Amino acid sequence: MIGEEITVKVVEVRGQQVRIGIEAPPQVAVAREELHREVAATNKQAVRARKESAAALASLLRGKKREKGEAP
Amino acid sequence: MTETTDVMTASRAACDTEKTVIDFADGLPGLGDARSWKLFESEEIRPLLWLRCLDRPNLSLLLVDPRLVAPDYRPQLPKAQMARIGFESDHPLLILVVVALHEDKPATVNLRAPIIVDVESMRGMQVILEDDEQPMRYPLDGRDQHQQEWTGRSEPCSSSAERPVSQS
Repeated sequence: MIGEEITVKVVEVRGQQVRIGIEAPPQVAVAREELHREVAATNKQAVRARKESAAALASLLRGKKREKGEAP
Repeated sequence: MTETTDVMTASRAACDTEKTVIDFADGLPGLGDARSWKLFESEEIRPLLWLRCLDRPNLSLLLVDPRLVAPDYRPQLPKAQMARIGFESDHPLLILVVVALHEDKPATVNLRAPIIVDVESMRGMQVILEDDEQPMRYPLDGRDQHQQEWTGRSEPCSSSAERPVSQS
């Protein structure tokens, strides 16, 4: 057992060969797929960042650091 | 603060050395199977970094050291997955997160899916952490100031990361 829902079983042993079965509820694969899709969506949003906006954001970050008294 | 310094030193190494091309064997989610990427830093965008795709011009991601955003960030990395594509456990790692800019709300970072680089072998991968407490869209400015924007939906946000900044 892996976690509560995933089971790994030896299905058959024949000579040198072992067949292993993995049982997992469909939502396990689905959840991974959804996560992957969400990461893909954030990446796609991220590649739209323009140079000017990046520079403006960087400047804000540097300003914030200075406020906190850290080295710029 | 030493750890942050380490990461920044490592990123500088990743930017400067001859072998600066990072091989993402699995590509990056949503961005096709482009494998070769390179880190760039410049005075203009410091402390941010660009990760530019060498296979597809004009494709680049803005990254930041997560500890500048969430000082307590300690991701549990999927070691087995990383070993599969050639990460060595004794090599120094660079951990960065992807910055997304939005038109209608402040910039966010994806803490759930950090980009990990093995600085010695120059292999890279965007991992998806098991820890579902890590948000995919964490406000770059920190949780305190923008809690309303990112948990609720009613308040229009007042500050925009994309507003022009006048420098004094």
